[in-house]
Amino acid sequence: MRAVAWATAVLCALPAALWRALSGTHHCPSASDAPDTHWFVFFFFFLLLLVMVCVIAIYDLFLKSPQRHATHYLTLLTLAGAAFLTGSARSAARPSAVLAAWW
Amino acid sequence: MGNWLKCFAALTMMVLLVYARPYAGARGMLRGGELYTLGLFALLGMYVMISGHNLLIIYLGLELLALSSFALVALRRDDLRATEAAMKYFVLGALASGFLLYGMSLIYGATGTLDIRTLAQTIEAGVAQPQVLMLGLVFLVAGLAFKLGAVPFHMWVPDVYHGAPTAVTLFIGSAPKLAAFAIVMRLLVEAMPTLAFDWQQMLAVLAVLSLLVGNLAAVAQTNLKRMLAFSSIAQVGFLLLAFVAGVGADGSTANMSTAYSAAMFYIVTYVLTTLAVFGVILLLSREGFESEEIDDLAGLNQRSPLYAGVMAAGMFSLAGVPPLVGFYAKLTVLQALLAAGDGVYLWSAVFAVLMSLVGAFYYLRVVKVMYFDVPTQTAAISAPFELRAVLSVNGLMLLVLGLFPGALLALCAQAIASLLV
Repeated sequence: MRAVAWATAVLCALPAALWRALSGTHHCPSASDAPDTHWFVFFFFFLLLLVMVCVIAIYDLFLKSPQRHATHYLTLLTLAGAAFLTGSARSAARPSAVLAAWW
Repeated sequence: MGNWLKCFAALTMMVLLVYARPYAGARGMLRGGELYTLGLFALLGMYVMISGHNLLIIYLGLELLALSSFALVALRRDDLRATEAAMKYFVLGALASGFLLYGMSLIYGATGTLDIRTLAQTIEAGVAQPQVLMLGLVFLVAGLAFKLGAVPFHMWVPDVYHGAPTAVTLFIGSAPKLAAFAIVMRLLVEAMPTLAFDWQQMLAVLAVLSLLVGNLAAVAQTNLKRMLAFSSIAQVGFLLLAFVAGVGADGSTANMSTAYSAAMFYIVTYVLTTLAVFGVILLLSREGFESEEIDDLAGLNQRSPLYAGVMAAGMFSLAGVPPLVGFYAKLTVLQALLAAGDGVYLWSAVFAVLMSLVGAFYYLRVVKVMYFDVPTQTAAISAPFELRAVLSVNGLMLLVLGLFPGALLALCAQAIASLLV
């Protein structure tokens, strides 16, 4: 279980750290600014999801429990990460900025 | 707009999976982890649809979402009703994709480009073939109407809602609606603003028919899932009315921001409400028993006042009763319609209000059954803590966002403003 927890933490922390590093130097990963943006920043959300789908599918092969607790929580973690990253992405309509301004 | 919709789609999927887990676990749907991987693939398709700025990319996203959805509907392979629903969904979905792709190819033939921005510039410059372009637009709108489930392209909605496992019905009725809203914005508002007068007329017909057929057919339903399917058709009608209000009869574009942000607010709140309503249905279902009939909710208030309260909040919100968020959603759409001008806009608003009154009948019938009928079920309602907590917060959101809609309205307005710049 400890190994699983570590693997999950690393899987989630790596993309987040990479995202932070890249979004500091490039602007707006929104579709409308795609041609001016580093390709990786623009495709980051898609890559994250695609990688995590593969990880979850492979990881699930080794699970024996019919309730699939680990798969469930790993999926929720992926979705939370995707929601956080898209919510805090740098763009004109960044949800976190709009909410902060409204507040 | 894209980031905000993607963020909300991911949150919707999270809530959905929390609701779906006990239901899916009791029916052996978690085996193999397909529910999770297909759910994530569907979300990836939605992301591609929301972000796409090229007709083919949008189409690819749509197909990724559609194929995942077909497989999700057929997840219970031993269930005859689910496989039948999956087959119907697949055949009609393929037809809709064909319409959409044919429309896209005609538009490409008329303009010589697949890029949304270049497409808008080409049409504005008047160098596109008008007849081919118009034919392409008709196919495009038909394909979108199929995907949205608007009348007369709605025939798949009741059967798929009814036949699919309830957890998958919740999926079909929630997150993909956000992506559908995004592609309507991309393909019609962003790519063809100069043809707004033409596509608005088509959408107006679809909206009026959806409101009429959706509401009248829902009145006759005794099955809760079928009733909610027809209700979703009616709600799509309301959503389309917001798109109709974008460009005024005199060609004025002053109302675009108000109308499209009203549409976005409407779809977001609709998804939130659908999550709450289906969350209660999932919670009441147990092994060997699907809580699908309206009568299955009889006396729910005596069994659990909390779940009855959440369901009542969902029903009142769908009916547009203040102070719930559905009231604000309907109000913003009606305000946008009235701001667009007199004549057809005014009459559309009047018709929408009349149809909302019809809608109130079948929504309030569910509330009446929950609070005034004698319970027919006596089994204890048990659910994991996380499900109860998320459901309570979801129900509370319907009230809080109804009382303080400012933040969500600001978000929608900002998202649409960034798109229209």
